[in-house]
Amino acid sequence: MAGAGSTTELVILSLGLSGLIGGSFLWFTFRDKNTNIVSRMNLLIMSLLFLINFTIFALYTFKNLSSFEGADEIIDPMFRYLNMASFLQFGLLFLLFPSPIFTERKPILIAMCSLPVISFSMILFARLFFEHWETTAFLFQQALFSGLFSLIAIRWYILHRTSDSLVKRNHAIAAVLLMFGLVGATLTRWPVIFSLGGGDLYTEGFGGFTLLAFTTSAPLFLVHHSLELIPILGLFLVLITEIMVPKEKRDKVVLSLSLFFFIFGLVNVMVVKFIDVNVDFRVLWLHFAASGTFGLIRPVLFVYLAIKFNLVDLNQEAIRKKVRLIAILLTTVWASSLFEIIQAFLPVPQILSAAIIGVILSFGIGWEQKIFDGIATISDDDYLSGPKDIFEESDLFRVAMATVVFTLLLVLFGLVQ
Amino acid sequence: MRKLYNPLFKSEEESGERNQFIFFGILVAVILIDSAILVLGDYSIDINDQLDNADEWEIKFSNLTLTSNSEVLISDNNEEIVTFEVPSNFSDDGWMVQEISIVITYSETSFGDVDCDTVTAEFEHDEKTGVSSVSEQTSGESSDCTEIQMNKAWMYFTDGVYQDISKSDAENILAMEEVGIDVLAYIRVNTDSTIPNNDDDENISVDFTITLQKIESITRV
Repeated sequence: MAGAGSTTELVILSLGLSGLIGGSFLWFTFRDKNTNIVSRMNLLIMSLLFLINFTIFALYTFKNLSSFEGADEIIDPMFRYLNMASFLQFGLLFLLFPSPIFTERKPILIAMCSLPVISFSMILFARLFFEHWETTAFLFQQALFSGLFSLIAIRWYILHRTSDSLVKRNHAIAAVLLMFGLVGATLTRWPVIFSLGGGDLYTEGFGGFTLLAFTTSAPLFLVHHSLELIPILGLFLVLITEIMVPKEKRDKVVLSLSLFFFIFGLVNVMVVKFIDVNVDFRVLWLHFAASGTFGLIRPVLFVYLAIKFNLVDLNQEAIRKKVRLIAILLTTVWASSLFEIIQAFLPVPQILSAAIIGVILSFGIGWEQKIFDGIATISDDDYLSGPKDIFEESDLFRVAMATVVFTLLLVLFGLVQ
Repeated sequence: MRKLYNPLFKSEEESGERNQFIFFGILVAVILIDSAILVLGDYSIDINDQLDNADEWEIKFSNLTLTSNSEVLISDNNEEIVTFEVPSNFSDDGWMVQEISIVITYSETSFGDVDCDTVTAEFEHDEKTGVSSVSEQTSGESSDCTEIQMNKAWMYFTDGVYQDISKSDAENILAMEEVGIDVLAYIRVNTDSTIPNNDDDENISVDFTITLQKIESITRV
């Protein structure tokens, strides 16, 4: 049976995927000058998010594989603050994607700059008023940037999902796909609504460190839980709307994904309820349900978004080739990850699993050309609309460096506590 | 003059804002219902168990001792069963059986007999929780009129701070036997006598001592 070793293997696969997507998106951002600056800004923030995830997975791998004593004391606080840094990227993406919510440079820059200020303010607020303040700051930021900010994506969806304009519908679809990609881990726990999953499901994916903060502050728990209900209700809204929408406006990807998260949540609650916490499969499953959603599902969704909504200029042959290469690597990593999960409850000899992965890959790569061409059809219909000139070329570098500095500051802040 | 907000982010039709308002209304209703369930509902027990995990609890205990004495006359090569019933109504206050102690005493009552009788004894009790004892001596024998001591004890808890346990674990910390059990002492006598036909039976005194323990208070440190 699989165990901690398999969890580490999943993390390593996620590590590779995050590094690949983060690096590629960063390369596209600065190389592909034909695409409009707002799309490139979105691509940049996505790449920074993946690079932060890459760092998280790298530290996790180091912690698990290293025999270095005291690794836990150093690395655990870094996890917390790196996650806070990634929540900030959530906020930026919700503000800017599918289209910036402001049309002028000054307000959008003020909005973007206010996010790190809010982040630090929350840390200080938690420091002053809460006993387990680091965890409280983490939970506040998670609730705000992934919960409350989901309202922006939901608003895009409600306003334009049934619009007769394809471009407007694209905004609704892109916004909800972004929400699925960013808050997928919360969506896999949707049975927490009305406490359907019992106590275990509340803290799934957070790690044990959240328990003390919840214990000592019932209001914190209630506020956090209330805000995470926003994307969960959003999931139900999307599922019902996609079922009811006229056939000509139906989007198979959004419908499939909303069904996927709905079924994932049901399976999740069954695993939590019926499989003992110490069984290897549950350990691996919980890892897949939490980290897997941002290590494995998010990359697929964001690559889809980038290709579908032309965040990269697929007219350029060099870029098109690289995007196709990423698609092939995605298939490879996904096939391997799937087998890690399958092997957790159905042990398959290594040689057999390698052969099956090979067969899946050959089919995947065979179909990849067709699927890729289907998604990457260059058409005016697939573009997103909105202000194009609110950023300057140099803003890309500024945002990248500001994010690096902010992330390092957070990590250092965590280390010196 | 350009508008501050992205025009796409505003509804051109009334239905857009209305739908948004309906969603927001449902959201608020769900949050209120959900919060009520969390605070008042049955599920809150599970949640609290989970959330109260890994904390420090100061626990205080109370002790109570129940005693009983029986005198039995047992004839040669016969066995008597002496029973002590630990009342079940003690469970209402949370009492648990921490220790069962039985002392059997006797002396040679037959005139002129210098050989003391042989008394063998063992005891058993109803097992409700199946929790293992920390020490036990459930049988004994005496042929020189010394007392027979039998006992079975579960872990004894002292007042103090208990770390890294959930509230549920703290409430159920008394890992011992429940009240409402019967304790049965089996006593057999073999009259060893130096004078033929002079010693046919013996008076045996059986003392039961049952120590009960319960949680008096639990306070988060």
